[in-house]
Amino acid sequence: MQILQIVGIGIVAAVIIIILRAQKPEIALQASIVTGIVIFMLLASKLAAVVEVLESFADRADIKPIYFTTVLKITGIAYITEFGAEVCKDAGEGSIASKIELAGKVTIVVLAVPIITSLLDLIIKVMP
Amino acid sequence: MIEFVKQWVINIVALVLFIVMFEMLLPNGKMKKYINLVTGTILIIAIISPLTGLLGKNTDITAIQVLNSNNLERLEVEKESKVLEEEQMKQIVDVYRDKIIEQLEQNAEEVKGVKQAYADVIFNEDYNSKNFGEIKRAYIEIVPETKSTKESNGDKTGKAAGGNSSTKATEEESSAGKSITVESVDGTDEGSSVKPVGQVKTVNIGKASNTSEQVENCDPAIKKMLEDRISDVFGINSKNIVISQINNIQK
Repeated sequence: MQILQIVGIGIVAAVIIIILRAQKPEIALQASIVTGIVIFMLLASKLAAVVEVLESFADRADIKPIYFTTVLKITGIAYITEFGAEVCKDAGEGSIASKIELAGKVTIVVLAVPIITSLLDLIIKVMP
Repeated sequence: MIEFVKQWVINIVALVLFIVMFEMLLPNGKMKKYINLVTGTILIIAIISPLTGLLGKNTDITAIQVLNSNNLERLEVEKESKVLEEEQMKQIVDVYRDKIIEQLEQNAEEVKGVKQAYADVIFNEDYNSKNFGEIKRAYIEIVPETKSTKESNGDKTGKAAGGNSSTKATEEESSAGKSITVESVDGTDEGSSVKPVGQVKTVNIGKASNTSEQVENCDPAIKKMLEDRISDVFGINSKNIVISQINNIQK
């Protein structure tokens, strides 16, 4: 029944933040950040299990470990980037949010380039 | 042959399942399409790569991939090391400047008649050049001992009365040398503790804009001694040493 816990935390936090926002907007932002982190920490153990399942899938599909780790890394980066960007957007700093997104995109592209170039190399090799 | 096709199909199906499961985990924002690009590429690689074995061109795709990623990392490290090098040089320059200033001040304070000294230097900061670190110009502000302060004050007051606009206020130290009375040339303000700060500012501006005037204010004997000493110790041409005098003590 962890879902009840998480939803409860989320709703309570939302109510608190709405009340706080009228009084002290700067604390409301911090409360929303903390809520996000707490929810993520509650999920972390389950997420680890899911990643393990995915790993076994990857083994069965004969995916090279390097691809698997790359994909995992990219997902993590995407999540962290989205989290930061959403927090900034909530605080009304849209421009900083877009900068964070840019940073995330660049990092993802850097990680993705080896895979894409290896696909290109492979295609060139297959050509007669 | 049938074994090969079986293995191939299993690979693809498992990979597709993997990707589908993965997509559930994804954040549904702007980042999704980037991850889709990567997972799609991996899927295509998984579909094509057995073909190389079929065509008799067995290639080690992992080697290619590692090579590529190594190449990328090498580029990144190269860029970063350049930045680091520059940062290091900047720090070296800063430390060097601090040391030089400290030594200048110490040397100046050892000269007789100088109570306190403040120094600043301009030196060759271009670390590619041969003469890196050569001191081009040294600025020294000295606070003379109480006795000489009084003398030069008298001199200065005369000048100020003679229409020297850069000196707005003159000050006389009492015999105790502690309490400072500030007398404005305009005759409007009577001394308060705030005023000396304003005066120091004026002196600094004077130093920057017209140094010759400030040098005149300096006691020639002390100035000569200082110039000799500093040009001896640091090897600076005495033309490039600018000495000025502050009459009140900065706290």
